[in-house]
Amino acid sequence: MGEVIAVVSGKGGVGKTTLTGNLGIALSELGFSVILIDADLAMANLSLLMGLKTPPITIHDVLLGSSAVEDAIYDGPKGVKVIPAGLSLSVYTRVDSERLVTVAKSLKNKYDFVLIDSPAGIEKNVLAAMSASSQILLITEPTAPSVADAFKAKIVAQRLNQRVMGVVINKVSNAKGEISEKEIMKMLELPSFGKVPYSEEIRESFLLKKIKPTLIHNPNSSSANSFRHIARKVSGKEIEIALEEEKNKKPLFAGLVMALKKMFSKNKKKE
Amino acid sequence: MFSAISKLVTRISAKVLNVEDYSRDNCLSSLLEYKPIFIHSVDLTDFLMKLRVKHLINDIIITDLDGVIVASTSKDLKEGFKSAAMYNYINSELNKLSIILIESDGWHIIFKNQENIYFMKANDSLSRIEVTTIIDEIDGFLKCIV
Repeated sequence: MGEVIAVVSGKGGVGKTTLTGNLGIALSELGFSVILIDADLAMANLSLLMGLKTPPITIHDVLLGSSAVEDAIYDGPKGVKVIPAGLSLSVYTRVDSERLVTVAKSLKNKYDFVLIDSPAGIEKNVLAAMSASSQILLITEPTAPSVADAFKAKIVAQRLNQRVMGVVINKVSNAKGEISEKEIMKMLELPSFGKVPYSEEIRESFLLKKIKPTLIHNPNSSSANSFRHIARKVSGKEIEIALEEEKNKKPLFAGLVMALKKMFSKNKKKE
Repeated sequence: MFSAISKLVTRISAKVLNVEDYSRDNCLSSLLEYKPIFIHSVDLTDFLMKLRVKHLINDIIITDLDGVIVASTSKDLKEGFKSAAMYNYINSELNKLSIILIESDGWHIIFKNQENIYFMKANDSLSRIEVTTIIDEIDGFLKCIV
C-alpha cells in the first residue's frame, strides 16, 4: 500500500508545486512508482511544470464524476504519472473537492507514492487535500509570515487528526534575518526534511518556453540535489543507506588486518 | 540602567549607520503559544465541551432517533426534538442515504449511523470533512465508553 502525501504550505508562492513536481521525479529516480495530483483546483499549474499540453480530461472531470480516474492520468517526465487540474474557472466553481478522498484511496494501492499538490490557505479545498492524504509535508520559506502560515496549516491538520511528517524549507539564501532551520524546527515542533537553496535556476526553469522541473532542466544543480535528499528522507532510503554504511563499516583493527592480508597475498602472487 | 543606555546607543548608531533591524521581537509568539488539543476525558459532556474548543464550533448536541438528548453543550434543547422529527421524515422518504446533512440557522444537523443525530452550531459553514472528523471523534469516544 502506497503513501499519500499532501504538500501544504498555508502561504501562497512558497513552492508547493515546485516541490511536488521535483519530489515526484526524485522519488521516481529512486525506483518508486509515483503519481502526482494537482489539487490546486483554482490556481492549477502542476500540468505546466510537468510539461503537459492542455490535457483533455482533468481532476475536475473526475471530481465532477464525469470521468474515471484512469482517464485523467498522463505521463510526466522520468516515469512520473500526473493527474492535472483544469484551467477553466467555470469548471472549478462546480467541482466537489471532497471527492478527492476517494480518488486518493483508489490510487493508493497502485502507486508507492501519491503526491498531492494542495492549494494555499486553509479553506475547503485544502482540507480536502489534507484529509485525502495519509501524511502531510509542510513547506515554508525562512521568513516570519511564511512560518506563521505553515504553523496555522499544521494546526488545521491536527484538527483533522492528520499526521504532519515534517517541514521542507524552501528559498534558503542565508540572508540576514532569515529564520534558521533549527528555529523553524523548534517553532513548528517538526523534523526538517531538508532545505532547498534559493536559486535562479528554479526561476529560470519557469521562464523557458517549455517549463521544466529543476531535476530535468538542471539535474546537477544544488537545488536538484536538495530535492533528491528530500526524496531519500521521505522514502526512508536515507535510513537504509545509513544502515548499509554502518553495516559495511569494519572495526579499525579488523580493517587493518584485512588490508595487510590483501597486501601479502598480492606480494605472494608476484613471487 | 546600563542596559537602557546600551539600547539607546545601539538604536542611535543603527540610525546613524542606516542599518536595518533584523531582530524578530517574538512576532510569532502569540501564534506559537498555541498548543494542540488532545482530549482526555471519561465524561461525554466534558468530551463534547473540549471537542467544541478543538474544532472552533459553538455547540454540539447528540440525540437518539426519538429526539431524546444523549449529551449536549447547549441549553437550546428544542432543536433536538425538531430535528429528530425531520430525520424521521427524511428517512422515511430516502432511507438509503448513509449521511444526511442539513444547514439551518447556523446549525449543522447530521444524521449518520442510524443510532444518533448530531447537531453542531458554528458561526461559519462547516465542510463535510470537518463534520465527518468531529462525528468520527465522537463515535470513537462512544465506542470506548460503552
